[in-house]
Amino acid sequence: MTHLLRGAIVPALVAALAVAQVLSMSMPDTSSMVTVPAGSYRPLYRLPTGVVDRRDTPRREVHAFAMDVHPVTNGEFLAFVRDHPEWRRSQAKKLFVDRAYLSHWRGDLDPGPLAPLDSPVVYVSWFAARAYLKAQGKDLPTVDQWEYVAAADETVRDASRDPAFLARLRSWYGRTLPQPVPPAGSGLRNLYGIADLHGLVWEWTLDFNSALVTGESRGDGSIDAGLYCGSGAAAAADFDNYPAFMRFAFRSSLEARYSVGSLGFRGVRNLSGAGQ
Amino acid sequence: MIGRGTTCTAALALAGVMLATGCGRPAPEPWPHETDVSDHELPAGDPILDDASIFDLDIPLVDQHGDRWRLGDLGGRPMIAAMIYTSCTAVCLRITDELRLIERQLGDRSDVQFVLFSLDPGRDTPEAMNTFARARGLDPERWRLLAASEDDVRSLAAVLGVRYQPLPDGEIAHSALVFVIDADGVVRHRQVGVRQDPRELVGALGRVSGS
Repeated sequence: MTHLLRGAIVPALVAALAVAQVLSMSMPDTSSMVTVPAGSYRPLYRLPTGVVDRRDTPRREVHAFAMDVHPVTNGEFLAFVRDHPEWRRSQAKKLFVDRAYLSHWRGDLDPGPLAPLDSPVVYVSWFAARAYLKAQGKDLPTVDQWEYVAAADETVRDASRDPAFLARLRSWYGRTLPQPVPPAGSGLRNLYGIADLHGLVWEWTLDFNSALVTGESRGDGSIDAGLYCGSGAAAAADFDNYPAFMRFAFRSSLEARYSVGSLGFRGVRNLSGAGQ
Repeated sequence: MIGRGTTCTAALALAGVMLATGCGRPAPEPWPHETDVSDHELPAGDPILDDASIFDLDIPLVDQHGDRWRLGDLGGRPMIAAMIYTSCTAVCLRITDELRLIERQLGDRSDVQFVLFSLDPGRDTPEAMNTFARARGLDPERWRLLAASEDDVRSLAAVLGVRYQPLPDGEIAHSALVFVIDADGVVRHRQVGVRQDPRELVGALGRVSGS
């Protein structure tokens, strides 16, 4: 009797699990995305054209889009490299990843104790992050998209000039990232319902390599103005937003192949009808 | 309109390293071992750069004659390459002029191909690239201007380490970099900015050229 039952239940369970796995692999995971309404934000740097008022940057418009609630986790990235062997640590092309790629994982398909399945994946290059997202019909957020959403705290959409909010960001940026990286969801969850833009790991942006171009570098014909911290901060419109300057500097330091232990990523999807 | 300054901001690539090291923020590990970023021969012993071929980026391209290519089709001969856009009025022209100077120095015996990748998929049609090539007197047998989709330009710029930003006035601020790439697609030399003196580039080409 029990033997018979077990014989029936176990295959049924296995089948159900297989179906669940197939479903979760084949369907784009939109449930974990949040729609961000269109709006505008104030970038750190002035763009050089048509700006007369030197005290302030013009706000930049951002179309509505959907953004992942959490950064991509080790578990999610593991499922990706299972399906895409060319992105496993031992097989990824050196043009697209540096030697640190997934170096905290125990093996190609074994994240191990330094990479808990529910923690954000780090040590991933820009190329690897985009390959993961493209497989889901997503892409990295632009700097504009990321900064626009990241200006929000728990209660207001634009807290970028709130001294208390900026102080919290400064204290996060000053702290050492615990190892292993804490689980996704342990950072700040803002009023859009999007978690961990602050308080966990840094994140890749699609056009990270646009950072560094300042109005001053064109305006006075000197490239020096934007190249050093002091002069860079002086060129910034928003003197109080040191955290935004740190993000700008960090992006400036990256190359697309770098894999860094404090840098993860999340996806966005542009909504139909809303151009980039 | 643009001011008298350089539209195409040179030497941006090295600026990031300066910013990152000068700001007092603990550097995220591991930092690249790139210490001399000014103008350097990429270290031959570096296992990353040693065997990383840009041809691993398999992207479709269209040239100034409307002919279709894949990036890997450029293999088999060394090339000197840069990323520019043809409506650029400043440093792109100086880069092109510098490459023409090198072309003259190399003479007819060289197998080196001259490649300009467009940063401007919106405006650099085959016709626009052909107009640019004719206006600059570029030998169509030797020079190839190549455009790709916006996304593929993004990937190519990422592979080469070219930083760029489209600006509201239609200009594209970008790093001025010149690359010497061998027949297998490996970047063997990178020059930051435009020089009056092409000797280093000519020397690097001599080391990768078969002739």
